[in-house]
Amino acid sequence: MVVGPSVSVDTEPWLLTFPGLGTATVAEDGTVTIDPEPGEGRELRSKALLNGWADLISWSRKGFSLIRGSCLVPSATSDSGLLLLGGDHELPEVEFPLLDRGWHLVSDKPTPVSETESGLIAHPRAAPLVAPKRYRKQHEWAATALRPDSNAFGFEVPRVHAPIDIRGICEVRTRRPNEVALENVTGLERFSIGAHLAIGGMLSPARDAREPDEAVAAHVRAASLPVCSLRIDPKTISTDVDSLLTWWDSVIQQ
Amino acid sequence: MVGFGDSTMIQGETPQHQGRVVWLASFPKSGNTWMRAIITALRTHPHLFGVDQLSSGSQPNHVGMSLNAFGLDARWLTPAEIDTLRHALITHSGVIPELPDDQEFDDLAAVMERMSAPMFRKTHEVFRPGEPSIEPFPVEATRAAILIVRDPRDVTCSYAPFFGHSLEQAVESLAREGSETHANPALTQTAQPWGTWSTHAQSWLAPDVPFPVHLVRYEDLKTDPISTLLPVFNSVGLMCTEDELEAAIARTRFEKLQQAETERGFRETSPKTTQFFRSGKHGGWREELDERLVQRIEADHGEAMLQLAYPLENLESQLAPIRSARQSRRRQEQTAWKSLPPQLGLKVTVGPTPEELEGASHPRPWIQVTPDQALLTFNSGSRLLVSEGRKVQIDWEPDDSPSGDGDDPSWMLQGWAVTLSVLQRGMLSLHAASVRIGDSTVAIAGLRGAGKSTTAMGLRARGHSILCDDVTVIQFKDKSAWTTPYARNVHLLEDAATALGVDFDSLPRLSGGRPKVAFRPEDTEPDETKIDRIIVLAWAPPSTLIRVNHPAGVQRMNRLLAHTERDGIAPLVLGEDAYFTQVAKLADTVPITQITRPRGKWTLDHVLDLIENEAQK
Repeated sequence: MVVGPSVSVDTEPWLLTFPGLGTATVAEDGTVTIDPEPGEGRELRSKALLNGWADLISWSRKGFSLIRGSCLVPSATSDSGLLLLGGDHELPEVEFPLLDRGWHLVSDKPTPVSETESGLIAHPRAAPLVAPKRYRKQHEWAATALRPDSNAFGFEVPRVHAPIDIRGICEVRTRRPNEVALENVTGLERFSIGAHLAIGGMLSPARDAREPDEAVAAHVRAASLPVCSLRIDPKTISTDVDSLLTWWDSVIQQ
Repeated sequence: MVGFGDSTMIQGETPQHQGRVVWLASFPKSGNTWMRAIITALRTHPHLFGVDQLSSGSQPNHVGMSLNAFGLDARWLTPAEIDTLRHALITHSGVIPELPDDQEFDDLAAVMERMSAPMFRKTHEVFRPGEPSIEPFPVEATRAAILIVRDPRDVTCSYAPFFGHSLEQAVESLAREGSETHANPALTQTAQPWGTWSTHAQSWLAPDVPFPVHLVRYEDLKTDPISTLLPVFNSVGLMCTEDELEAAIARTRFEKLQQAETERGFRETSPKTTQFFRSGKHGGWREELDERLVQRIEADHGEAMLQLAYPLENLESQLAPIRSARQSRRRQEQTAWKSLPPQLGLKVTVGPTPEELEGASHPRPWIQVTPDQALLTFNSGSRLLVSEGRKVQIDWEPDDSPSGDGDDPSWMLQGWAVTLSVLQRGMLSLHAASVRIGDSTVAIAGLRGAGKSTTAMGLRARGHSILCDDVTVIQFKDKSAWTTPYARNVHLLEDAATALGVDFDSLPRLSGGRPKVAFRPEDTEPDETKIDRIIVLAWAPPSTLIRVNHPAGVQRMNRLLAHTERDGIAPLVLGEDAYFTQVAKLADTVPITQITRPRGKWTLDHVLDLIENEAQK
């Protein structure tokens, strides 16, 4: 008996099923239909199916790569390109201080990207910024629980609804004793960070039967961008983010 | 769990399960990472092996991989749905797929070998079977488990710096059912119950675990890694020769791991520490732990330690009082000090109360009573206001001074607030402990210092259940007196605690400088129970013998008045007529036994015999 999620790709449109949550279909052109399970909470189930699943499959079917990162720009009118935040750490810990300083969100993770000759373009997703509930107390943005009994909340934050070039990548992680807050990443480690951002499996561009070289293009292009490693400590987060902004200034002046 | 002297295979000799997953199960800081380093070294070309690239580090409670597997962002799921997702992810990767009929392979054996190679996965969780179809450790995906255990005294020394704890805090963490257990959908994590050091090992070694479990003692791994690991690895399908294993172990010697971490760092280390690979020494606890902490660890885990062949330093007679007190503490920790059982129907708030009640009577200088409110002012300056039988306001500031260590204000709520509220609701509060003895319930009444709590604890030590200490709420139904038990602390003086085999110093002291500690007995069922007998404890001069008598007529009423007037509050709140009517009814309904003992002599065993005898009447 199947009780977990399943994705049927043998027929058109693709059928996504999660018993108890509902079903969704994703057509070849990316068109999505949602059919949540009936009953109380139907609207939240519908949003979960759309934002948490079908929308991602849709971007992938339309030929975009998805990367494990969030994208922000310094302001609504900035033409400096955008900053991609990645890493295994809680990204909201850096996203919120940036938003508090006037930055705008283009896409909370995962972010759809397309490749150009020279780089990567991030595309906006409509899903809210998802963060643990505790951020409600620290920041002014309106937030609602994504699901019953969940500590994941969706925050309505200032946004930019346009595709924008990725200008730099920041890998966020916890700072260990004796480490500096920010370090420029060079060499092989840069490729490693770029590769870690890629989402394979169901969302891998390889599903489109592209040539292997083409399939890793996103990784290679990500690795060619300026990359920094931001090691944060909640106690010094404000100065940690200051050091990120200093690094960002140096990137956009290049 | 039976005893296990050596690293051994617990169930079955041949893997019966066709899944790929081999769980590397351990309590934190027990050698799991070292084991993973050895496995990674075995599977990696010597030139490519690096300590920062250990495989099998992703624990099963992390379900973020659902993005790769299903294209699904798990943050949008409920806790129940991420449990389901966890099962699906493990099954997705752990079940060996059938080869398609219509496809030909150049080297079928190589394909089969690759597809069925063991997939090692680290976990610190306790084993639990879980609901069908969403088991946290799916049988169909599992081949076996390797349980790595390590002497808890050494675990403590490694755990403390890793998590930024003191050694004392680490001892508490090893004994506490994990607090790191909550589901965290925002971070795509299911609950992760660690259990205690003991329950962790016991859960994996239980006979009902549905797949083979290999026990590996860290100490055996240190002294004879080849003999310890070779049969285990080959049994789970990680085929290797003795030479290959020896080479892998040589590459992962502790000094080498330490050196690699110093030179290049280790991504799995904690932000609280500079060094993940610390000493790895067996028996290092002898240099780090003081005698008190060793006793606590052995009191907490002695049974499991002996089963796993870790000899104890202390005798059971030394450990038993400490264990009793620590188990009480664990039970207490599960209840916030201001929470009262729901069956009492009380709403407790913390905050300032008035200093005076207008138009109040003062049956004692520290008590103010109006028809629907009572305000008590304690020596410490704390105040308690109880209103309309339902609302409780407590004005208490914790004592943060060093002498206030363990300062516990719960006695004000569990005793006085309940008593005042039941009186305001028109019921009696008998100053008595209630205890279930066989099929009978007896209430043990007495004035302050009569030994009610000590007696109740003595009966508990004989296997009877304490229903409630100090306050027995009385209701009349069907021509009988009934009480509603509720979980609360028993208050003990030092001499009583010592005599009862409870370590006085390990328990929280009552606030306000009272010379007692709070012991939390096991919770009992909150169902109402009929009171079959009231035992009244009384004192007599030291030269007298223990006497038992059964008061008759008006004497019964007199005995009960002393134990129901509650510092003069009951007649004021209930009204004198109603109060006397209820006491008379209680005297008429429940048989009374008075036990009079010589003051200054230890007569507890004799008294307990008498109470057990009276309970059977």
